[in-house]
Amino acid sequence: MRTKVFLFGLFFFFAYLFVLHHQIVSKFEGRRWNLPSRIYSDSFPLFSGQVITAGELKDRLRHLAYNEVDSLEAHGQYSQNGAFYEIFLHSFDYPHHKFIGHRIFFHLIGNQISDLKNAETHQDLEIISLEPELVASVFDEHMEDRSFVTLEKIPDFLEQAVVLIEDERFYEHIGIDFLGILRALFVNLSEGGLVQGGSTITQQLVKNYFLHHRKTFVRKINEMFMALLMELRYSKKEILESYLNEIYFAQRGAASVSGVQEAAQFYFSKNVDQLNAAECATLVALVKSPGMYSPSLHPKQARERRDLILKKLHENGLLEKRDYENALQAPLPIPSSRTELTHAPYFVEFVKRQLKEQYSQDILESEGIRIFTTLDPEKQRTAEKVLQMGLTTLERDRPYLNKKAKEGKSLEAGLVAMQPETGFIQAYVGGRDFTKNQFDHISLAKRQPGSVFKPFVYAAALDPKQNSGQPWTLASILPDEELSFSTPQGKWSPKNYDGVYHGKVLVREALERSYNVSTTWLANQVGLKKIIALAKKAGIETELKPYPGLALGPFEVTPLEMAQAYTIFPAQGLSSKPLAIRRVVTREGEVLEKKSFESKRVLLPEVAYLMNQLLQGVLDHGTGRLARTRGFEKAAGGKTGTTSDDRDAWFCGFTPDHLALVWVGYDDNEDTNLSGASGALPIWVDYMKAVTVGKNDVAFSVPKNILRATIDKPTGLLYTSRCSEPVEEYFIEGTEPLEFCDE
Amino acid sequence: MSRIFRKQNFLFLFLALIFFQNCATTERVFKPKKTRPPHITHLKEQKSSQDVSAPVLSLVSQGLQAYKTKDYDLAEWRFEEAIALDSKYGPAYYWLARVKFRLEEPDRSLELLETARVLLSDDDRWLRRIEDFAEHIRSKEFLFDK
Repeated sequence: MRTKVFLFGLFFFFAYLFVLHHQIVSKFEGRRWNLPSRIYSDSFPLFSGQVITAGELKDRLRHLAYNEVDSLEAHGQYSQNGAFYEIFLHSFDYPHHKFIGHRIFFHLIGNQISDLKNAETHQDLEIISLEPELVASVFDEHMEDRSFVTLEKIPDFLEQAVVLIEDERFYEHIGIDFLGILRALFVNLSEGGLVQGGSTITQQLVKNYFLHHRKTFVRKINEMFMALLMELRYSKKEILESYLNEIYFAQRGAASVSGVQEAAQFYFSKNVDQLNAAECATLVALVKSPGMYSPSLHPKQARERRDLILKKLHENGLLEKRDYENALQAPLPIPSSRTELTHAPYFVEFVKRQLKEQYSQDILESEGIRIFTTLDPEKQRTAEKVLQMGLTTLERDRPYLNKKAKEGKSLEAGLVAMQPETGFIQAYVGGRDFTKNQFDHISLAKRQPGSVFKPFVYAAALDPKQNSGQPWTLASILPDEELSFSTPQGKWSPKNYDGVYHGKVLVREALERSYNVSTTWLANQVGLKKIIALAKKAGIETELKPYPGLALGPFEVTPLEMAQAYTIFPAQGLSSKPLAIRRVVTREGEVLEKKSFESKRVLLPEVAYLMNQLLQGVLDHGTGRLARTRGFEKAAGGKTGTTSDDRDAWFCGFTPDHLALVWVGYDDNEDTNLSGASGALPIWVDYMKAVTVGKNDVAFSVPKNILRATIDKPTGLLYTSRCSEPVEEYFIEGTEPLEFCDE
Repeated sequence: MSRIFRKQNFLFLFLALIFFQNCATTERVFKPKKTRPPHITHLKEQKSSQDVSAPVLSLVSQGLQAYKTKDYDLAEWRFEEAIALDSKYGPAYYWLARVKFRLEEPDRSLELLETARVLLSDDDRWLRRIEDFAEHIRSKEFLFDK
């Protein structure tokens, strides 16, 4: 009987061990942690001649966790002495090369950088970059912010310090330190409380990784046996490496900062292999209790604990006297002030949607891949700010919108900004407030573009290739007179916004003033299918039907499609697909995916130039002239768009090297009482003014065979003194008028 | 006799005249030369794309160094950075096209050459270089057909 009981007991004990072993193996083999993927912005170049305000520079540095100090001692610090700046750059692993951070200095005078040099060698630097900002991390449900690091990359000093402080006999015991338990028992009994633990590193790892933190007897028993099993199956090196990557160090918003690499970044803005003795000791101090020894919350306790650790290290021969004394003088770190990891939330979701085409959610949440994007964080912050302010101003100043806002109806908007030649998305704001409405109004909302589509009618008209070598020109006269079409729904007549017909008008006037009637007439003369073909080639993917009213934009497109289509004007006839992701890289640095900009020829450069002239006219004296009265003076073109019943307000505009589109409206399509000029244009102006401040005005490139001629406005013929109204216009060579107005 | 002879001479000369006129290869038309009215002028080309800054040149130079050592991924990255810094600098597109060709992306290479062509339209030397390379790509294009 006793033998049977004994055998049963043994059987259940081994079964129990088997279950524990299975638990260890199933969780510990292969991928041990879900490492979040990281989404980075673009880097920011610094060079002599770079135009940047002191405010913008400091803002960028702050967002990259650079701290202002009097004297530089470590990576992630900068100092300012009047116009003289010195920065100790972070190291950073770029997709194709590793950058080792070093000190640089320069002068910032009159918002321009000069004398940029390597502070160590005093060599002139042509260009150097501030590393990309971390825009967002993609976590799993555990929300652990961790970057895995191998034991080889962890400083020996840190490894030794952890072992000395947490588990002196780590390399000697078998997972449980019986001597340590006895000693702790003795100390706790004599102190009358739980002042010392007897847990080994292995036990701590088991507790944190497999079990819970509740102090129960069963958990303790499980912990002990699992520690023994871990030691049987894994080497000391593996256990220590896992431990150092598992430790919880701090809280950053909703995510926990775990592992020594992430802790090194969080507290010191550097990689763990760059930590010095004092910094290592600070991290070791936190292991016991990150809350109690937090440098920001309890600096006195943090310093005392750190110094105690340094003393013990010195006493054990791990730290020379001089290094020990220097380490005691080191200041405590100021942890990264950013508690929010995510900004540009709509952009992040846009990027994630693209990533999900190739990578599952599981991979994004666990493999620690790094995604390098085209986002310019400063432009992004500007865009978010002006969009918010713009909408608030509209709702405050317009009684109709004010009433709607008080009823709980929020006006929505979107802004996207790109580099025309490359399609690089530099700012992306998909809505007013992501926390309240996650719907992306830039790439998911289909809205009627209205008049913002009109430039494609004119581009098709001006293109010699589309018109058998006999294109319309800027001297062409269009009738703005009563017009009607037969449609399946009956007779349809376009009307102008002002309700008036303007008679015979030049092409320029028709577009600048956004006349519906003459534009519709022109569209039907040019050929609706030609206009549709051009729009499609430019990037409008929505299926367009060749209805007589096509020119007025009655179909639906996303703002992103429209922004892409507009790139053909500043990019001299080339259309570039919007691009947000540049590289996807594994955590080991292998490039998984490269995305490069794609552009194709849609218009002749000459036609693009003529369109730029017309669209500049829209800003100078057309429906977009508010841009100039609000103080935007740079060379730029654009077009307003207002849909019927004022449901949508659009403005798409560009300088030679930057394009931005703004849309404003209600999600339920209710009327806004806003036009493109009153609703969207002010936001566009505020954005463009902010991002071009201090920058030189760049002119639109002129292709080879462009002529300028003085013509007579009423007739479109060459001007003489006998004609009535001279005006200068531009022509593709061979299309200029040859007759004089008085012939 | 002499009268007949004079008539024959006259007839001969007349026929010769007609013969030579009809054998003339070019028609001489006397029309006034066509001149552009003074109101019409050629716009001078802006050379803004060529006023390139030192940092852009530096990035292109770094890209070229990587290209020469066959580190095409790094070269691609550098040329893209140069373009991000100055999207109107034509040579950066040309060199990126060369890299794309090495990376066996001839279609992309040709697209980039198109951009370079537009941006360098006032530089004959560059235009020749672009055309030569485009021709080279087209002649090798069959090698990329899978």
